Amino acid sequence: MNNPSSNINTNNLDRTNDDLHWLLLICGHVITEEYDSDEQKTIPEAVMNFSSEQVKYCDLKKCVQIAQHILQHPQLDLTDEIIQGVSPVTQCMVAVLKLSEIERELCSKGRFEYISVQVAVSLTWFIRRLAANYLGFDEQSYKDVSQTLSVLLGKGSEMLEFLTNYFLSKVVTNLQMWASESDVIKETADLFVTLSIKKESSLIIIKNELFWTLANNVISNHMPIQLINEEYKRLLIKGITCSCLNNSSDEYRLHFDRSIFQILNQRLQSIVESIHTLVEQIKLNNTSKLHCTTALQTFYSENVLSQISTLINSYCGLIEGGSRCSSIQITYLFEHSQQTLQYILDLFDFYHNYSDQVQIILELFTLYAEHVLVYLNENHTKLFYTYVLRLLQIFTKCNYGKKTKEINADEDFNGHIYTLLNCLNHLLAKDFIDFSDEPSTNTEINVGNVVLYGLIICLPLIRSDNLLKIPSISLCYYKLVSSLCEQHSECLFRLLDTEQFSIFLSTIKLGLDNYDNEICKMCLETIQSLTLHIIKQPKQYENNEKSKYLEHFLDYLLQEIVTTTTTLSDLFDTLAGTIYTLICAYPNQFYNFLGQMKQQDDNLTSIIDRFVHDIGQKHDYNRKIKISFTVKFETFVTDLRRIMKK
Amino acid sequence: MADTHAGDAFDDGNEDFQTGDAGASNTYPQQCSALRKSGYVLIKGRPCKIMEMSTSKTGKHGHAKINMVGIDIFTGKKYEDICPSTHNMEVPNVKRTEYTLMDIDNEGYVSLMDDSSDTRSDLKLPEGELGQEIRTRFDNGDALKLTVLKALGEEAIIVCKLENEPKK
Repeated sequence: MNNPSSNINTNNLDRTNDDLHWLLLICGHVITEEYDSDEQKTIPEAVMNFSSEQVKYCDLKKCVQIAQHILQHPQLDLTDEIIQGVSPVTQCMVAVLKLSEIERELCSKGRFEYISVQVAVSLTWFIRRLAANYLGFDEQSYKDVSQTLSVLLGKGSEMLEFLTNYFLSKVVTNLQMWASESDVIKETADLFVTLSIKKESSLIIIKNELFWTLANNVISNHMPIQLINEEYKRLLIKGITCSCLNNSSDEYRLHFDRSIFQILNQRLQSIVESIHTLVEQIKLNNTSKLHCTTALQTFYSENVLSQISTLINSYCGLIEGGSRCSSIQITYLFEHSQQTLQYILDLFDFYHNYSDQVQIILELFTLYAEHVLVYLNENHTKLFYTYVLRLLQIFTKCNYGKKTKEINADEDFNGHIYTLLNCLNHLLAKDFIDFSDEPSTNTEINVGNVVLYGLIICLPLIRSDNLLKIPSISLCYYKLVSSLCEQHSECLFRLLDTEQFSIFLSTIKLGLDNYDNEICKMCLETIQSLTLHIIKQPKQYENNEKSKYLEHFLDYLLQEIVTTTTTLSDLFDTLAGTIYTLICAYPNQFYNFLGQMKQQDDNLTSIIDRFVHDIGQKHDYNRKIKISFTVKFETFVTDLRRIMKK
Repeated sequence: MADTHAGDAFDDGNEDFQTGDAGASNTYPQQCSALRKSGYVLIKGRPCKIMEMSTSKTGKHGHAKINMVGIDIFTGKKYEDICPSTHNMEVPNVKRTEYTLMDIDNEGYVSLMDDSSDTRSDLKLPEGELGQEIRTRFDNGDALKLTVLKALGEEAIIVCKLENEPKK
């Protein structure tokens, strides 16, 4: 590197870079552990113990000094003399910091021929895991804490602040140096999120001017941020939001509001109002109509579409970052995004022909449903439901009777349906999880109605394109309907007309006929829930068409039990429970079926009579009796199959 | 108000932001690393939708190259290209305009009206299933909206949908 000659032996360079890459991986895997985003990350116990044992051989002061020194003088050779008294874990970290600084220096001098993309990826990967496992680690989580690590990286240590700020600068320089290399940017974005999620490090980086410069560049989509993939921009915004809201300080929330939230909201407002103005002008049909039409077309250019996607994506990152924070912060985000959501619905309408924009908006609403809804009070919940209803109405309007030959339209549309079903699933979660200060008692807000409306919209679209053959969509759909029927079965009877109810049940039968046990189970639970509703109000559903459709399942399931040769062990309890529930609702049909079985085969008479005697004549739905029915039913089925095999 | 366009709406001091007036250019350059799946790119002079993107490297430690597979948005033909991630590629401006279908003549030319009540009759029904569906629905008396796709001076009808929603 010090050789001014332009002749580089690329073979040697490649070998060196190979070695660096593998050494980084080995060190990273030895001293750190991988983690899920929600997991509590800790220093591996073996490393902590080893470091503790080494303390007696270490000069603690030197451990701290060398880490600081190497960042100021990366050319410093790590000779035996220099590293004597420095703990092995510290040596490892210091070597990596040195490598990081050399890389940065080479870039700043334009000596790109020396730099390896692979090493850049591995280096950032290592630093990310180091940050996740070590920065501000909680000493309470360890039986025996190494003094070296405590001094270097423990909570409140001087080096913690120094190293955290260095890692932040690493994020910034990587974004500048490697904007075109997606693998490096991925690790960099993940590193930034790691720094933001950890409370100790987020409180440090938020005081650094570099953080706010980065935030400004990301929000403004300045170069080189423009060059990076949307997915990673979203992660950066997630990190920015999390850092700002990850504490109880009003000061940083205000700063976030001014620098991030308001900027995005103003930009959105400006776009939507411009579009509205132009549309109104065009309708007036005056002399400026042509000019306004031309101006409106600029909002459909690829460049602007890309900016719209970036803007909506920013809101997605905002919600994902906010979801890591307290309920107060999440509620604050919603309170300040009411107008935002209305504007976004306007954009949804305007861009309904543009599948990317449709997709990102659906994703945004799904994120709100997943992360924000459970914290909302009654009024906010009702408001959010109205937004979702409007979203569904626009979606229907834009897809009604649609036929297309556009390239890849099927895949785009499948994505929309899947996201919509996912959103509806999250809406239902409010029934089970409600962290708001005032859990809803108002029956006027019925999430079942909202979800069912969404289902009514999706169902014809799903059926016309046979989308239930797609595993992800079918799983989402059946999960939705089984949860909906468990909590809001009365909605289906109240709001679906007979034809719609029949179509709905046909999808349940499809699930039973064609899918695996997971979906079959959900279908059986759906039938149980619907039948239970009828049992609770027998007079209302006497001679009712919808009840008759449901009754068919009793014959169908009994027939399946009798004719199938496969074992049903995974499903048996659910199947028996469903049959029991159907018997309680339709006892006459049950006895008719058994009578027909006896007529078809005399050998079955004694088994059937015994079974009927065991279960008794009266069938009032009761959980205890259901459990004992399951046992008796199992015996009955075993005997039945034994006879029928002969 | 008469000068409102997308550039104004995005102007919050970001001087790097580029918009174009409609019709000013059929394409604009974008660095390869910023392209994404389902986006558009010009490959061998044809406007394509990107179906697959994967990264390979020039040598083990070299810079990324992006391998792209795209489908011509008008002909459905597949094209492939490889480009270093730092290089620019041209992105076509792809426009979709919705029209109300007014009439279909004997030669298959459609009369269309846009939201500002301007009409045109220079496009033919598309070939294949979509064209047949449009004709059948039109003959049945359905009110139809057609979407016309336009890029690099080429146009085609690609979507038809019913104008009136079902009663709920």
